[in-house]
Amino acid sequence: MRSVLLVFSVISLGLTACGNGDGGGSAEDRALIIERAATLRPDDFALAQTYDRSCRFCHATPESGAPLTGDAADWAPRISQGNQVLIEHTIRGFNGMPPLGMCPDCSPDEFLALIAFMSAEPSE
Amino acid sequence: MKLNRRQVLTLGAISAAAAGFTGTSRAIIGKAKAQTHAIEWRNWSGYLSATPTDIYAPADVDELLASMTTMPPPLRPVGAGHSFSNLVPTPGVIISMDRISGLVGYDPLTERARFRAGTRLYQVAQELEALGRALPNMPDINKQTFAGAVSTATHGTGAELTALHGFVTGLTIATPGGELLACSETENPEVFRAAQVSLGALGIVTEIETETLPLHRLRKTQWFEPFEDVIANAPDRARDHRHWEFYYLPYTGMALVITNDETEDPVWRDPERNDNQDMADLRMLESLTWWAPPVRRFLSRRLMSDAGASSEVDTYWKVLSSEQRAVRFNEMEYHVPVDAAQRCFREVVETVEREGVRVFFPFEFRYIKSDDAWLSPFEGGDRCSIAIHRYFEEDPLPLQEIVEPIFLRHDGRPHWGKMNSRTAQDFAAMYPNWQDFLNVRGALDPDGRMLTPYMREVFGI
Repeated sequence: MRSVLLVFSVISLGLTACGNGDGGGSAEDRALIIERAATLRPDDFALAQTYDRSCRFCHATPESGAPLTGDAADWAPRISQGNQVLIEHTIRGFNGMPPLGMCPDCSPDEFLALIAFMSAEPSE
Repeated sequence: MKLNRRQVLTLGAISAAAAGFTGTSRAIIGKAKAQTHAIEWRNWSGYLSATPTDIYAPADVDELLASMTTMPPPLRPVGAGHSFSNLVPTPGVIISMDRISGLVGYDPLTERARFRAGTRLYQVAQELEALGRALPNMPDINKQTFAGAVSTATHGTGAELTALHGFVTGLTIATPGGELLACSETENPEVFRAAQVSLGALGIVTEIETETLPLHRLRKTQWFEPFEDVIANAPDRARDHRHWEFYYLPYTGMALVITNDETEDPVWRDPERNDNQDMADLRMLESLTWWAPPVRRFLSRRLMSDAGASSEVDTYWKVLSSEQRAVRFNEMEYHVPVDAAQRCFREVVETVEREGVRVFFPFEFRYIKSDDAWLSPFEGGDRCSIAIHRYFEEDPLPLQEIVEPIFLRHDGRPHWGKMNSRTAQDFAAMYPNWQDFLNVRGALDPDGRMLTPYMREVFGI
């Protein structure tokens, strides 16, 4: 029988900068979301650079537990809270999401642009 | 019968609950900045905050140099914000090197690689992996910038492995006077000894050169074992493995031992691993059994003793750090001489459990080899790092106030990036080259442009 409490391996106390959520739907849907998250990038060059250095590692990595880029369904309950709450959580941190989300120099407008990109349903 | 992870913790929780007891438990400075905004800065745990004049991320080194003499002081560099000590907060300008990142180059003759300061550790590892190379060691967190990790003497574990700065062979610094200064063993060697661990006090590190090793895989193996057996044999165990560490689970009498050794075996990841759930389970177990430590100890020992070992194989950096979402915390860590480390750790455990401080985060024990950087906590001899953590929503001070005196009695030196109450007088007594560092600092920053109130407290200026 498989053993145990890797638990606390956890405790790689690894930090990561990440949020929450595991998507949903079928395993095939989930696999597609994961595959897509790894390739999505903002069209805007400057925003893409910021996304790559600050957001991508967690929001394109399913193990992080963060809502994945392009997984609009997983983002929906967060988006429904409104921009004020989103910015508050981003700047002050929320659960696994660290304050300022690994982008200490981002302005609130840049945070909102990044959130809008990550939470949008990708066009085919 | 052996139990799996979920069964162990769930059983423990149910047993306690069944007994009828539940506990309650920016002015525009750089030309590339598009806009001005005042924003509150917070560290990773959210415990520290500051409202700087600006948070400035230069697009390149030329822009940084042009700004060094014009930005309103005190100036402070920020990496990933993973430090728990007051290194970053300033009423002046916080400088982020996030936009100055990536590999500068790799020299196959010297097997050294050079990176820009803002490169995150996981990016350093990824860039080196593409070259078939590896960092000699990694911490269990890989989101820090290379410069932030090196400047605070960040480390992993390994009896024969130094902290990250021990592998550094050269640095380049943007001085407060707006000039670039390179240093190494042969070029400005005194500056190099100071800059290997500088707390960001000499200027802004722009590039770091490091030794590398051939890319390798590691097998990570972990299992539970009675704490007394682990601590009694710690030195021998550490010598037998490339990386060795353990976590003591408070009030349980049990430790989780983790080893990492090189292997040629194929990649194997544990599909059932869920670090986040594990931490939630630990918290629940504490919440349900805090009222009766003997019950918690009995259940934990009984259940964990039945748990077997588990292992994973992957590229070294993917095994040494976790990509899974983390539970945030605040941390104190002291580096204690190896000869005193076992006594010190036992005393920490006995004191915390005698005082009844509520804590569910494990205490961590690691080995680090010595080096000769002036402000390296590992200067002068090998040390063991002992870390205590508290959940980020809990007050970290009650636990730290009873543990820090124990660390100090055993000649511990605090991790520069973690919580401690030491000041200049203490540091001067701990570090034989303290004045040498201050001399270099004074020469590079005669006007004190890098001196925040905390930096003045640390250096006694």
